[in-house]
Amino acid sequence: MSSGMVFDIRKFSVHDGPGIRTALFLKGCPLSCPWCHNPEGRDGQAALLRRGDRCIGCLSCVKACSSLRGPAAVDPRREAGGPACLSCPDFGACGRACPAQAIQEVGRLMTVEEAMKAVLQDRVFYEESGGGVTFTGGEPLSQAAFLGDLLDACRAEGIHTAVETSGYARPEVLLDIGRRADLLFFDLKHAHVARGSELTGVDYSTCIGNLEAACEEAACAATEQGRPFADVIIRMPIVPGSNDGAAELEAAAELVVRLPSRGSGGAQAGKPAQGTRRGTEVHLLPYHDSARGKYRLWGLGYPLEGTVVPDEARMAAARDIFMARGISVRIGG
Amino acid sequence: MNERIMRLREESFSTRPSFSAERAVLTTEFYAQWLGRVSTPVLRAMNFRHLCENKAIWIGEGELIVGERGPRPRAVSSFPELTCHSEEDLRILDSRPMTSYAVSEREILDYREKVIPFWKGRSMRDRAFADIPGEWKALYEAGLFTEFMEQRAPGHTALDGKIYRKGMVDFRKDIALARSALDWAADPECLAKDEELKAMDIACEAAIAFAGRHARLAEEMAAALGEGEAQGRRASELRRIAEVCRRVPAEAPRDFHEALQMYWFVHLGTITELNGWDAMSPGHLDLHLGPFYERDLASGKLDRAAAKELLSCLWIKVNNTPAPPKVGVTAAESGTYNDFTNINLGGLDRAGNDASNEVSFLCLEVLDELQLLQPQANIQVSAKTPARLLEAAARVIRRGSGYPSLFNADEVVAAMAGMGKSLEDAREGGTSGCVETGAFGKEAYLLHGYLNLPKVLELALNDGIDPDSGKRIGVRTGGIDALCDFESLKAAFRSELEYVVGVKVRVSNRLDRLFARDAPAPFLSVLIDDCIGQGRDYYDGGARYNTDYIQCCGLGTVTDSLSAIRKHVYSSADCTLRELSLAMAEDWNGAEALRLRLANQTPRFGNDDDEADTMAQWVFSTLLEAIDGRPSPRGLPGKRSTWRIDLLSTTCHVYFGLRTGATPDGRRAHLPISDGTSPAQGADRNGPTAVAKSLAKVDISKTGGSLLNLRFLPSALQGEEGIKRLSAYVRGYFKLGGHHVQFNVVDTQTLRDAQRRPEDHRDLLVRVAGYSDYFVDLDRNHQEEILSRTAQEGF
Repeated sequence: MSSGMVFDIRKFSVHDGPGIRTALFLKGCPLSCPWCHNPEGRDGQAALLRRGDRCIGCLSCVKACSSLRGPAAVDPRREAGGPACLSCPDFGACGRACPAQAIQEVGRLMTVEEAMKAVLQDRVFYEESGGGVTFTGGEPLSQAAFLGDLLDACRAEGIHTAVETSGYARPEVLLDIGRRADLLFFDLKHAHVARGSELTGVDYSTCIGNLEAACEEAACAATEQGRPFADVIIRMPIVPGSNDGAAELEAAAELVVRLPSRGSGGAQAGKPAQGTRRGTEVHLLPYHDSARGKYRLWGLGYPLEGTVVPDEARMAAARDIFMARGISVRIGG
Repeated sequence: MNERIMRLREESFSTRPSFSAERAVLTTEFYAQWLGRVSTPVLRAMNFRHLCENKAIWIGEGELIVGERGPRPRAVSSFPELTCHSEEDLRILDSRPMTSYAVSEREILDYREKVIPFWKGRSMRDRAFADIPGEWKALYEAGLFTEFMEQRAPGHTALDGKIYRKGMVDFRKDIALARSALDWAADPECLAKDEELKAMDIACEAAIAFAGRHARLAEEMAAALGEGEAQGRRASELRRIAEVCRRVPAEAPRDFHEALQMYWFVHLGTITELNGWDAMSPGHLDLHLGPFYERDLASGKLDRAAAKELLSCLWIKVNNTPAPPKVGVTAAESGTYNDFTNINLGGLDRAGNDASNEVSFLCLEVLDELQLLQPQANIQVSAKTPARLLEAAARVIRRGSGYPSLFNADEVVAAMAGMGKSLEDAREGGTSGCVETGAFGKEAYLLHGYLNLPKVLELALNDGIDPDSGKRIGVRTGGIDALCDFESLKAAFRSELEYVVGVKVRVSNRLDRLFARDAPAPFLSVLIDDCIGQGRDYYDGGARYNTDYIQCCGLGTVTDSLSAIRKHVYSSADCTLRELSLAMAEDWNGAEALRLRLANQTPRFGNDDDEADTMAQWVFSTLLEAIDGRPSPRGLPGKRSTWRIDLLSTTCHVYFGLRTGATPDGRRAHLPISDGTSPAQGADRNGPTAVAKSLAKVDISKTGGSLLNLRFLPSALQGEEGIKRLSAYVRGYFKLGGHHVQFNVVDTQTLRDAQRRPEDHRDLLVRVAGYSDYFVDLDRNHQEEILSRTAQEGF
């Protein structure tokens, strides 16, 4: 069984799919979207987060660490858990020793069994609520082998799975994951490849191509027995100044309309409910700045300083653009 | 809410509670004349009749359901035969900043001249305290436990459906039959039984007389009204009231209006006779009223709106009856106006079918619209409860007032069946008071006081010495030098617990006998099976089932404390017991690193962590060993009551916290200990599902109740999906065997704002313990305690 780098497990997760869910955050993401909520999830390696505000100066970290123990008069507020510590032979010992949780180890190598143990704890709540597990990140596809094993393990347990992805992966990887998951939340950052690439720092045509491929697979799976593929829901963050211009939203809506969907193949006997759906469902997620504090903690500059959170009217206007094309759309996840 | 209900609600909401000496004066006069001339049960019944015949009666403008305990709405009676307020108590009640009661100079004069001189040395409390062993006093004063019966009569009573099938006239026939069946040739208890039955008969008469006075007053008021449309309308309402009061409680009710008035007269009777804890509760009100509602609707006598109006009138009546104020040192502490009437909705009928009906929804609507302190309601959620009802309840919960609370009906029934109750009686039972399980109309399940578990651990760590006073109040268990391994600490905890419980139970049993002998409750006994058949009082084992409870507080704090010691002292050995002990004695001054290590690096209860949760299971089983099954003197030979545990704290975790030093879980001295069965404040860090999982590992069906408080941020429960999630959460928890859960849905900002500007948040209801209270009526300790509960966000 594989193992992977997990940087958070959140139970009673309510914004990441139907019902009561557990969200597993897989570390590592090749994109660098300026609105990213989990900047600590970009790097694929474990890291240490310093919370100087919590430090009580007890020097427990210093005592626990062979690198820090040497020099006299170490100031734990400044020196423990810093960038230099990433290569420390005692990596993480300082955080484990810290009573005040002023140094936190972010990212833990977990086996599938360990992760599944946490996932299974809330089984009764998934069953009562129609919930399950959501794999998010980071970009979960960047740990595709681990993710695939987790999806299989969940399926074996009868637990519903969702994967939140930017779609940035080799197409065969994405499609393989799509076959092993129940639901894909597929990010659409921008309809134009050039601007999308500019925003995300990767070749965005890969993402759009994968989106089309995933929707194609999902549409076929809906009509063909024995050809499983996850449902696809498109999630588009609405970020003022980045992708919320009327023309940009129109282009996004046009892209969605053109995607193959379960409805486009025509209603099939025995699958009327799915056959009547019009296009792929879209969730519009209003940008918000609640991650600002996190950037500060990590000593990172906040890339969207000054960006205003879109108000209800603005979100409704965005929604209307999609609605006008007959797309099933809602605000929020 | 129509105009009538709005006005009555506003009156009830805004009238300041007042203290009335009326009952005390009438009772004093009566006792002075009759004490010693008749048997005690008959004396009690005659006093009840004296009150029913002579107290001032009240029919307010626009009221449809009538009757007050005091001379006017929100006027609270006192019970000097149990506990007699001193003049100083009364002045404190009037002047204290929180939950005060207006006390006029006239009331004080009555007390000074009539009431106090007679009852000094005669009241139950004076006599009970005159003969209390020193070891009990030492433990009581140190804050190891409280004693319910030093303030009020034993209670927690709820009714079954019999008063909707039988009136007082029918009960009198049953009583006559029981008297005629007495075997004077062979039964040595015949005299006692006959006196008790005679007393019950007088009590029935009294209740009829009380209603008759209201009928006459209503007729007089109708006759006095002049011409005009509005006056005519009120006159016909008053004549209808008179008609209803002539029917009930003498005879069984025939329609919805009579059924409500029947309940209210019975409720008033029981809380006039004595001041049992938690007043009185109607049990499954929806189940009982359902048939009347359906019949009236079919016959056109009533429509949905009229039924709701009548229900609202009952609600307001209950709210008009604040809790009787306490006496002695506790008079200085603020408490609550809530007297804990708790209505059961949903659940099962006697045959085991879903008992919910349209009245369940009506009650929820009334609860939601009136936003009053009393009565509060709970939903008994069984696997058979329709999703529609649970979701309707979830919508009310989301509004943030903290009610209704939710109980697992299937677990409640199983718990009672496991205690030997018939399945039918168990199903007709449910929850009264805060979270207490009982067979309604058939059981005397008496709560005797709270037990401070963290303080027991404090004794175990200090060789039986209370670090606060330096006195040895527990047993010698050796202290830290003798606690060389975790097993020896467990043994010390067990020894201190056994000792404390032993002292507590001995005195409680004594008080139990004192109430049976000197304060029988013949009217209440009429209402509870099988008091009539056995010719025995409710307080003397007349009920079909009898149970005694100790409410154990601080499961979370004591579990985390033991877990911390096991890990840090005995397992990883990063501190010694001596270091820990010294740090706690200094309230962690200079030992912040140790305190944080204990708090943050210990497996703690509430995180679905087996290491901590097995510790909670050990605490729980140790409590069972120390308490469960201890004999109680109440009840017939062979059917004696036994002692059991209950796991609620009401607000006592704040008081116990004040009396307890720092604890090994990193808690600072004097802060509240954990409440009910909730995790220690802030210990739960894995969300609400993990809390539920941890708690479900404790076999609550062996107790009389548990209490889980959860605080949610409103954002976690938004939209229809939020309602579904809340319902699913509850179903999941109950599927695991959970017993009870209640929610505060309020953000921190709102609570802080209410602290700053109480006048703007006068009606902000929050869940305190097993009940909701107005946030601005809570003292600062309680407010902070609610704020310190982990806010579940939904991530």
